[in-house]
Amino acid sequence: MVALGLWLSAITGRSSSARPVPAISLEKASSSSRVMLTHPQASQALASGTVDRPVESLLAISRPLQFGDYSWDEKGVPPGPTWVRVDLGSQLISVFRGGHEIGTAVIVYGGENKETPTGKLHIIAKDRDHRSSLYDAAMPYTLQLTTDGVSIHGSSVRWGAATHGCIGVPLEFAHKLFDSAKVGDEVLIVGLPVLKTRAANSNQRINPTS
Amino acid sequence: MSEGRALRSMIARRSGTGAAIVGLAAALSLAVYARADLVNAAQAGVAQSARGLNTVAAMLSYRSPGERPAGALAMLKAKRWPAVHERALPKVRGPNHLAGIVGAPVIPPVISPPVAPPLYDVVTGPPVVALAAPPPVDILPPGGGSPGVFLAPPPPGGGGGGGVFIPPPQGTTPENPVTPVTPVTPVTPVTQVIPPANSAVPEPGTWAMMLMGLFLIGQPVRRGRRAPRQPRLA
Repeated sequence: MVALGLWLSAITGRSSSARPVPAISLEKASSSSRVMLTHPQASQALASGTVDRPVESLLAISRPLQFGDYSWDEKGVPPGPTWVRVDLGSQLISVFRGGHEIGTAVIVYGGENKETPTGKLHIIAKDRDHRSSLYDAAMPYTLQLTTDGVSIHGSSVRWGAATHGCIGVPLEFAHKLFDSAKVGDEVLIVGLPVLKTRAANSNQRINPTS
Repeated sequence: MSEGRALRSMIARRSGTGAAIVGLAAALSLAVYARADLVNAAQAGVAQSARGLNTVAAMLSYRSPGERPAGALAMLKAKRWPAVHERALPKVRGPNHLAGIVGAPVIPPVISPPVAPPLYDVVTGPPVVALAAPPPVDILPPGGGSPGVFLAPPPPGGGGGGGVFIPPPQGTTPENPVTPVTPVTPVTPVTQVIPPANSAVPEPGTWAMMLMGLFLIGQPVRRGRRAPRQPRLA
């Protein structure tokens, strides 16, 4: 019986963590393993402002993501409120359900003179097939965040690309996020730490304290 | 008889003990089977700690492709220009007066930046993330994968990522209470116009000048013909 139990667990582990990825497929394999955070880690993340809600687990990403990559795994995650964390400095987006991360992807964001706003925003509208009348461009799976048009939508995520303020994510990731999110869900956008450093340095030069 | 009873009781006790052991083993195996995800999570956590990623911020930063370089901000979506017809000549004639006039501003194309090399070596491990090509470029405006037309700086307050949007429902307090800005008609830029080669028609004034010139040239000839010829002395 013990051997049967061990054998069952072994084959279950194999099937969930060793999903074969076809060589030329454009399908995205989902993360199959998850990092459960310890209580000190979760507390530190909340206290340091990395997140503004308790986080219990993250997706285990084995290597840095590249433009166009995403990971989505909501298997076994209990139902809960969906919320999003966007990090402009890292060019990443993380989607959480409750305290568990269910998706992450590389993003493109606003360019010069069209910066993406930072802070705590909320989804105010959803549009599956929106088209920008100002820039004549498709914005599939739009999650509108502000009244002047800043939103999260599917886009061509490439190195060097920038938007006019929106947050662009891979199309399939945008589809999954669109299906998971609801109007009113929170989106936390964390800004660029380099700008703060520059401002701090300039203040120090103008008003040296030491 | 008593020996048989003792033997039966001993067998019963041992059977009971054996059954308990087997049941406990079954329960343990089922527990391990049910918590396989926790085992995977524990293994993943160990791997993360081995890389020195002990905080949430570090784990999130590890998966980052890096910060966007300052110069990679040119590949914006091209703004839609209205049709522009500009006249270079003060007066136009005929039905083909628009021939040769450029309808849209001529702007040098943007050179796409080269594909960035991977910033990190791919760590071999469980295939949790798969590589993929970018999605089809039907999202981008006409012009292909990379916009071939670079736009002049758009007017300020021209909106974030889109134009007219669904107004928020009643009772919501948007973060930025800015009314949607209607697109401003851009200032028509000066274009270079090359007039067509063989369809320039002279003005009436030009005709008159030409005739006057011919008349002036012909005056000495007329005077010479009217005046009688003086006989040449031998």
